[in-house]
Amino acid sequence: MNYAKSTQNEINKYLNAVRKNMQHAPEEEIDEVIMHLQEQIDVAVEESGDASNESDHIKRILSTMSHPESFATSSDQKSKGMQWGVVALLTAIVSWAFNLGAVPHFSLAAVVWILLIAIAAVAAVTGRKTAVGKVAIAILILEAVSFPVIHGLNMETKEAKETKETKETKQSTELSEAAVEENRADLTKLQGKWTCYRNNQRWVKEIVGDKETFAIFVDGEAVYGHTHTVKLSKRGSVCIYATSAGQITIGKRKGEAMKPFSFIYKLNGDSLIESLGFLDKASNLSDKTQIVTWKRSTAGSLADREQEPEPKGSIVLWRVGSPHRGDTPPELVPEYLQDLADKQGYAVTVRSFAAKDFHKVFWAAAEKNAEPDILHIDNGGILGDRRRNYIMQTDLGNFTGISAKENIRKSLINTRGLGGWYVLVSTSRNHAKARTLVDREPEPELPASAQEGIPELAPNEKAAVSQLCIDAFTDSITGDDSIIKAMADDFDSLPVRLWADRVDGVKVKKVKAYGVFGTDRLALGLVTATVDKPRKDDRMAQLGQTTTLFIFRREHEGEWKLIATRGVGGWEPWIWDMLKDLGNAKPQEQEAVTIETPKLLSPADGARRPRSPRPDIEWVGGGDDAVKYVVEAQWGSRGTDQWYLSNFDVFSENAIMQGENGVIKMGAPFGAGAQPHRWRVWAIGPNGETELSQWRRIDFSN
Amino acid sequence: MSQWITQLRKGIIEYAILLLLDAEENYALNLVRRLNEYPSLQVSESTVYPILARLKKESKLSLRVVSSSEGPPRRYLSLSGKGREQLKQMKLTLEGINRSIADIENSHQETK
Repeated sequence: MNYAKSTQNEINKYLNAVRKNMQHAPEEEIDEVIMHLQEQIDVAVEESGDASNESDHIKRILSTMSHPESFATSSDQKSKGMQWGVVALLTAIVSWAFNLGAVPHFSLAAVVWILLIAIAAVAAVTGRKTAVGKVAIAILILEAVSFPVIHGLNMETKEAKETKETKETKQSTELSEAAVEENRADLTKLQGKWTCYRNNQRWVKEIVGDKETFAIFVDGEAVYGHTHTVKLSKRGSVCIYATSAGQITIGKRKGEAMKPFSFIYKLNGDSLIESLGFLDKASNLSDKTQIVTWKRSTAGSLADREQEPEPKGSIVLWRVGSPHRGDTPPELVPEYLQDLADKQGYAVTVRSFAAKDFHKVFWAAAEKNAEPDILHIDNGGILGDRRRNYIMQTDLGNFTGISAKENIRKSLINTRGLGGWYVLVSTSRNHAKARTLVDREPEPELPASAQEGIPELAPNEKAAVSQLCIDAFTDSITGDDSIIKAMADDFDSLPVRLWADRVDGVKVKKVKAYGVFGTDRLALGLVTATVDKPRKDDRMAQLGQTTTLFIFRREHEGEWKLIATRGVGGWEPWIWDMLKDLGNAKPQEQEAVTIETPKLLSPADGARRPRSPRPDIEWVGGGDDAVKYVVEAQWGSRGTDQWYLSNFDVFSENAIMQGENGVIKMGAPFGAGAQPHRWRVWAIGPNGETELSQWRRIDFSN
Repeated sequence: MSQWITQLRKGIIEYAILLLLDAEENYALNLVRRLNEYPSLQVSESTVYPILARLKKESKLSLRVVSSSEGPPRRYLSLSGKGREQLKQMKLTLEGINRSIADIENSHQETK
């Protein structure tokens, strides 16, 4: 499957970790395990039905899979255990040296000693199954038991003790002075206004001196506020933000005093991260632990209480969580979109929302012409479906789609080719900029690995097939079928999906044929183009890149005839499986062979069968010279004679079992739903000679 | 006790995998799912995949890659002649062990 770069990186990270843990296994076995894991990931993505192809989605899938360390062989585990045991033993011995006073005293000796004991303890527990680990544990227990004995007997002279105490006091004073200085520096950095967005709320706080004023805004209205005094401190390297003298200033509890509370914070340039609820409850906000990330605000004082304007000219991206999970996506611009914006030199500002009541936020923003330029969603319920009255029901409740308002509905443009579900808003302030991210030159990439072992067409043939592909594509979007009919081997065998929803005013822009390969008998080509399709009835307007595969065959020196086509996600390995192993791209030097037309045996035409378990299909034909078989299947709808979207399954001659008299039998590799399907078999010879069987219909009952 | 169970399961899982593949060809993930249908044989992919990789390296499994335009290609595994031979040997060994254990238990009952 094809994944976005960031997603593939996540997968590679996991697979590399597995590989590392299996390092002592034979290379061949490791490769096999990796292939099974890759297959498992692909299947999980397919089964989840989530086509967003996002790295977050993959992370969730990976988190359900075995931890990479669990792939370590037992010898690896033993060797790791031994390593930990050795570490434990060494650190335990050195800590004993500290215990006995054998190490000369230095300023942070106590810290180093405690650290050594901690490392030794952790390592000893980890390596407890090894002999050295057990010895380390024994040493540590002895050290703990002997500590009071040794140090009780270690009488210091009065003078020495006084000198030591003076030294320690001095060090402590130096340390506390340094901490106070750091706290003061942090408070200086905190001065000013900070903002963050939580679901549909905007949080704002302003720190002046040691006073903090906090407020929550919803739709521009202040719904809650408080003030309190701030005191910063440090425990070790942990920064503590403590509040006192708090009072609620806005909302139902206005005038009430607040209990003091404290939390951990981290100040990083213009970001302030607060970990609430870990030290004690921030009862005025929430009982739950939560991380709040603030950004330094450049807007005016809190007293203004105006909606903060977006940075001028920046493309505004809103990300919305799932109505099933109730999550709020991270406020990050997805990598692929960021790359596209960077290429154009545009900045992108991102805000995230939970799905609950998102429609209100969107509608309120649209009234002020502050709607986002791009909406990133992973569930269509956010937009809404007319057939369901624009209401989606999940375990978390009802969700109203933003399309429930007609003006909003008309402003939405679905996009293609951005690696996720992105919707443009035609009325937004920076719509023209946002469009350029989608309406761009096709950049098809065919990996070198895809081209290995694939026969190349002669240059003039390649040019001819490329032009046929472009003509067929353009006709399928904007034409009247006349061009496709002229080049079709059998027009009725082509799926209607490609041109079923032609729309007046649709434009094909920036069209490009690539990946045109084959022999002089069988050729495949991909066309990628930007299509700008206006809204029609209830179908959203669409803008973006789409890719279509066209497959041609021809008799010796005859005309190329279009035999099959389908929309694809781009380069997909199965496409080239059809061509692999065919001749050596020099058919004229090879003996011509005769491929027999496959004859379908069962199920009978029009048979009704369950889809699960899959019924067997049988055919005979192709002859001894057939090197590939393709099972092509299309699905239809009951009551119509229309057939949609071909699926192709490619089999090598040696991958399928031939029975007596050349009968080939296999489980039907197709079945989109409980509906009619039709299927046929292609037999392909070594030079690309292609013979097609008749179609047979099968009606799936479940 | 838990170590004994772990060791016993390790050997049995390989036998169960061969049994499942003897019944029908299957792909790796589905094998994990099939095994997990049995409470005593619950395993993760980190146990099953290395066993499959080793069996394949030992030429006890055959591989058939089935491409699909509906989803990712599936790598279907089935038993080779060598695999069937191993399964037969394992069956015989297990039957022998079962018989011996039953004999011991019976003689123990008689002496009670």
